[in-house]
Amino acid sequence: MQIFGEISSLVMPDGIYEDLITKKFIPQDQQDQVSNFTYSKEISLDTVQPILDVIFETHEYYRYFITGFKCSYPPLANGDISQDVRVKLIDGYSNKKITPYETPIPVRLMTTPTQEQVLRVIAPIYHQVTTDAYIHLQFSNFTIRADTFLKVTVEGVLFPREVPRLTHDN
Amino acid sequence: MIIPSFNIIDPDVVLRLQKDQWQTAAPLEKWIPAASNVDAVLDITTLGHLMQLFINGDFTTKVDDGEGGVTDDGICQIRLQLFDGTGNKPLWLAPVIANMVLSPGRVQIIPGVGNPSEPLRTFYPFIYQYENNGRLIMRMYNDADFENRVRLNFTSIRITGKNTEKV
Repeated sequence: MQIFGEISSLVMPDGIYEDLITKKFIPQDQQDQVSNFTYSKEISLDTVQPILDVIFETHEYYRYFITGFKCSYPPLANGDISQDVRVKLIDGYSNKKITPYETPIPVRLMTTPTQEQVLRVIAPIYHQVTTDAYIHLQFSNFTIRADTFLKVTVEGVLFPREVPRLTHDN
Repeated sequence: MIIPSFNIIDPDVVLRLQKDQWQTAAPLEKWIPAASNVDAVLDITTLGHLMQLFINGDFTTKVDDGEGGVTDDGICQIRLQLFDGTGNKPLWLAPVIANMVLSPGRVQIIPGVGNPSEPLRTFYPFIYQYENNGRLIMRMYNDADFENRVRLNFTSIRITGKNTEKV
């Protein structure tokens, strides 16, 4: 089962990202072309379909460098140790997929749930998405709860990509 | 090599790099019997070297309730010691109590008993490269009178490159 995410925002960087990413790490001649992206999608995992592929479509005009991932996950208060949602990053398409995350990782060990009022930690993922591929996260639900709702956010930096121009024979 | 403090993002350079080096994550989980210790082993495999950058983890705090059952007192009785399994080299000189290095840390295991689980607050930075076909060993000590679980995540970089032979 696949869920295709939508581009929720295409924003110019501000705050820490502007300083650290676009000013410091981007070549000077590219800085006015680069911008950040933040893709979010709310998903529902259930025990009937415990594996869920979340795919964020990418645009042919850009290349994508992922810098972070965050995910809300079920409330921590009920102490149900069977809550266990894991995620794997997959890159590529068709038969050229690679899995930077060789094994699914519990999201609780990667990022702070968004409902927590503490310093939020964003899982650092430094990964250049294969050109023309989409951003693909695969979630595994090992919880025995019937419905598990998550909000998944992937963020990073967009680089403009030269798209071959069509030529017309006269 | 891509590390968090890289200087330049160039998509073409990064894509070429990623054919040999990419960020990955390696989970490790173990149940530890009461009053004992176990070695949790992560095989590095022959895919390449593994450069560990950060360690995260959680643990349970179950204890015997004195009436033949189990309860959760919230007290960390887990100690950990990290080894490079190739040559059994201790990377931590002595066992360290888990709540001094692990985040999120304690996870509530019995519904309604004890405080809620701790949220993730930080990544513990510990940079070390394990060689191709080697092993990472986390020796886990459980000083409680009931079994407990430890889960770990090692945020790392896989390095396949040319130098994958054992030195």
